[in-house]
Amino acid sequence: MQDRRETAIVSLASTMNRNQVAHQRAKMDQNHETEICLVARIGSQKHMKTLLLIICYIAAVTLPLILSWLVGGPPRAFHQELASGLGILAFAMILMEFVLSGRFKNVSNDIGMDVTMRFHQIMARIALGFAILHPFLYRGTPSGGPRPWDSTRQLVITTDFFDLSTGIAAYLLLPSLVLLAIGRTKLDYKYETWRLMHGVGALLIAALLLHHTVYAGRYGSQPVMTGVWLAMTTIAIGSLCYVYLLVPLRDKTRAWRVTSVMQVTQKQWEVTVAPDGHSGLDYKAGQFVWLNVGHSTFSLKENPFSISSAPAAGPEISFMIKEFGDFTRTIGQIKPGTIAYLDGPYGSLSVEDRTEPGVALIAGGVGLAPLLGILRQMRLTNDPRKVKLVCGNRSVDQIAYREELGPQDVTLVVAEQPEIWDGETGFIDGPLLDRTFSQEEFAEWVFVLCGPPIMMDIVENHLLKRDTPSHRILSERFSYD
Amino acid sequence: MIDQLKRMSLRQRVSISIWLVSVILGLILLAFVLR
Repeated sequence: MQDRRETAIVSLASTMNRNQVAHQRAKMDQNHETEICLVARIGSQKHMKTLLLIICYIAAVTLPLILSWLVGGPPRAFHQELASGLGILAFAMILMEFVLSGRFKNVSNDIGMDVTMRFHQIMARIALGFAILHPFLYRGTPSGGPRPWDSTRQLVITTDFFDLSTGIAAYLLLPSLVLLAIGRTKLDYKYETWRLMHGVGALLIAALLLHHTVYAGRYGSQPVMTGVWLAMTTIAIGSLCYVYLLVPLRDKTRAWRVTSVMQVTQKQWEVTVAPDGHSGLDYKAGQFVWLNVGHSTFSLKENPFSISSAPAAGPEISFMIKEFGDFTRTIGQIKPGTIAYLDGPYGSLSVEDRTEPGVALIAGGVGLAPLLGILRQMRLTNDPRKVKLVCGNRSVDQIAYREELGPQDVTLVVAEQPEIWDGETGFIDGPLLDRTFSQEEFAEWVFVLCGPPIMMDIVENHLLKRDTPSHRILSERFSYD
Repeated sequence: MIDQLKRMSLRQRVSISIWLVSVILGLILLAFVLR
């Protein structure tokens, strides 16, 4: 940034007198400070939103516990209260999992879908731990139904089988749901089969726990608490209905048509869709959508794909898709004219509002897709910011859009060196980044990363070592573990 | 502290946030149990 300013000042000096130069220098210094302030403000706004979301999460999860405290009866022995507390927290956390499912733009578009999903996964495991402990801590508590002299159920727990059966069913279902989610990639399920099982399982658990909490719970049976649990469960199930019923209903009126399917490398395809009777999608370069091709808008057969086209190119949207799973292996069979539905845009991988003097795009494999969208947008709009792209692939024949990328400011890296090759060989690592970027660029540019987790970890750690502030590193991961 | 946060990777910051949330939930639970 400093270099750019100095060059501009030198060129201005040849045409102006001393006072004009001094005035211009002061003005540019002021602009430079404004740029720094803007970057800081964007970073701090993002941090504030993250903090606000964390506070909202804690408030929502602890609301039933705090209300139980206020409206519940006199406290019991430590282990009994701990058992109730863990059960209440676990249920509230399970209900919040519905909202953390990643399909709410207000939650995931600023902090990132990968961060939202990681939080969803970890919180589910913590809730499972709490739920597993919950019944064991009641050991030693007298049972046998309510005693007439114990109206606040301070001394006994219920043994009514109907009241307990829903808790037992949820107790068995919850670990299955979490374990199936953890082992999803290892178990050979179709993606949509897994989504259906996960959604229906979660719905069932929420309903079972609501019954168990209200009928077997000492606190949940209080009228106020019954109302609170009913409201929270309605919101959770409502969020599922919103994603799987209302959003598809809305998308039904905004259909798209496949205009072309083109093979870009041996295992990578470019699918382009055009709006069918509407104005298209309002998105930022680098974002992604859930794409449904050839199925009903209510179908679960939809997958998230990064948009590789630029918003400035027009309403048509292109995706760069690698053959990987059951849907992507059939991409080549899609016929032009096929109906498609898009849900989005999602994702925080955008440089549109950034004020850094340069943009570094670092991609691994199909991670090029969103970064290609950013590069295309910058080139189409004659973005004054400098841009450099580092793109890694296993072999030369896997490099997509090689001609379009061109040689200028593009560093191609291949792991397997061919006979004739003028690019880099090996992996995207620290030494390669040091050869590509200057210390000033490390400190002042925004770095956008997308690729395999190992590449992302290596690059991010190196950038931090080179004093790139974390708010200037934007990333999106394919996998969340 | 802020400077240290700026030097952390996203994964580290997410881990810290999750730990922080867990600790706060634990403290509220403890307050409920010991009331």
